[in-house]
Amino acid sequence: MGFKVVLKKELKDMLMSKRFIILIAIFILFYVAGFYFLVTIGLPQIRRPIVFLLRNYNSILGLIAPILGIAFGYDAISGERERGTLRIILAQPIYRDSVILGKLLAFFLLTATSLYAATFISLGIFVAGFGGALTLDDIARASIITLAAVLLSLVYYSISLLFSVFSRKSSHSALLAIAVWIIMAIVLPLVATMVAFSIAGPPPRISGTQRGAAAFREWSKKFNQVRESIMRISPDTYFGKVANTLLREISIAGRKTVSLTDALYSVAPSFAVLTIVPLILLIASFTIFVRQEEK
Amino acid sequence: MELVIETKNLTKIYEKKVVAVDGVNLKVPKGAIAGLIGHNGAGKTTLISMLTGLILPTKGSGKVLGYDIIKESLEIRKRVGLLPEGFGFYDHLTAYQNLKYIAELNGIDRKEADKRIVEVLKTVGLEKHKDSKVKGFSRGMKQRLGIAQALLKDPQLLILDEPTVGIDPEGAIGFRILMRKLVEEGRTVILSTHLLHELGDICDYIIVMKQGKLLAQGYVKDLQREYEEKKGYVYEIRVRKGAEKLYQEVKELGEAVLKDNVITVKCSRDTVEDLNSVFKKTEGVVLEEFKVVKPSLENLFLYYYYER
Repeated sequence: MGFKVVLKKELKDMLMSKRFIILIAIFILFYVAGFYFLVTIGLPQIRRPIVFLLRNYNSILGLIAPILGIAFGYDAISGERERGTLRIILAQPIYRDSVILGKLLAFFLLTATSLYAATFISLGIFVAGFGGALTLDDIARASIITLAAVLLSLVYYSISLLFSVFSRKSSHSALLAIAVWIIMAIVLPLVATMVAFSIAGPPPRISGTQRGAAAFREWSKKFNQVRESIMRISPDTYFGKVANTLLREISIAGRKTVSLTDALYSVAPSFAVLTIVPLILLIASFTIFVRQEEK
Repeated sequence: MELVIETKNLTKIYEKKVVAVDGVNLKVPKGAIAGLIGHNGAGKTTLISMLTGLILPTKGSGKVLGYDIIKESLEIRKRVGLLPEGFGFYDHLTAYQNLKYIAELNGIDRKEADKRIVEVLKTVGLEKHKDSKVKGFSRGMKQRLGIAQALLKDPQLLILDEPTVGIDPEGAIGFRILMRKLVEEGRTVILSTHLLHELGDICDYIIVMKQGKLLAQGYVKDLQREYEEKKGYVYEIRVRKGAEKLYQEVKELGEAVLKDNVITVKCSRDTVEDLNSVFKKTEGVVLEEFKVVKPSLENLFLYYYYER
């Protein structure tokens, strides 16, 4: 009973909130800008323009999804606590878990619906506006990538929610959540590159000989291995892996397309991470919140 | 005496060291307006939170409206209207929308909710602001809306934690009238406050807390009697003629003060007969009024808080 009431109210609040409208506006702006760019560089001349469109779209998704998670997670509990509304809600015949579950499900439904809607609308624009060819395989790949974006958003929502459960002030939880995102999206790639350089050393000089090329390949392999192992900490990496794997094969002209099933097998570990991480964080938030006492 | 609240050795210890409520054996009779009084940090809010199942006691047990505070807290919250300390509303929603949400959380169906919302808004004098956003409400209006949400479930017991904070004097008078009306309707009301003057004379039952401990509880008249037995009775004699003469006689019987033709004398109950004799034998004295001054809530609080 209480869970459904919270879910309904949260969905309505989220949909009508300024932050959601602003995020949608940013999303559209980025999308249109990317689309315009593709058109100006000559979209019709590209062999499979859908791939370029999806690449552009995915880079926006990779940016928007974490922001969406943080925007709705940072004050989910601390905001209610700060406003004093949590006290009013908990004074009613409702269990604490209904509050957190209602909020979580509302976020998931809103994010999934809006990201899927955005994906299909953008594909529709592509077909209607440019008469581009679109196969079922393309739609399936786009859908899977969108699912990864929803999960990425959930990862950041669960991080923000955990901070929100602990914090008395929304500003604290917002700062912590944004700090995590900056570390994952900006600091970590820089650190990973620096560490990879320090371990792999400077790249060997390409002399044009076979031995030189082999040495460079060896160095490059080592460098990428180190960098990728560090980047595994970041959830953004897994979304990137899903998007790149699903789009890589079909983007290279003349190269045989890897089947969707094979692509799915190779992205399964990334999906596992994108599912398990938020699950653990959400269980932690849930357990802590349910045991907390509002003094 | 039918009790709506009864606790046994109720104790709350935070983080294994801070004793917020210490072995409280509380009894609140049905139909009372009970004042839960004590300084900040006396444990009032923690006690209320335990009674309504918002926090679990470390030790002890209790029943509210016959329901166990640990096992049946949801049943308690269905029947108890609570105005928690430091509460708030959704500023972007109207008074009606806020109350609608509360009604939904209580499982009240839409038709009934609409009817009750109008009723409670009228009760607290906010009917004209039904469709105004809470963002524009004054502190007093928010406080009244808080009481409205507590009344929405038509509760048998109403617990209001610091209900008059931020209310202007006019609002405070309206609040007292409302409380009396609610009790006339057969409800029991508990008012928790650290501001004694805010309670005025509306309470007929008081609960005094200090550092987590229950110092006193009982009907005001019983506690007043106990106070008078221990501290003496206070009589007030308004004299039209011969005040000074009478004062000289009366001060032999007890602690007396003469001011503006009014003699205030503090003495034991038995002295009332001696006073009568003095009135009779003192010539040239015209009495206007003679009354017993009952100890105020403040007198009682100070006595139980510091002296007993």
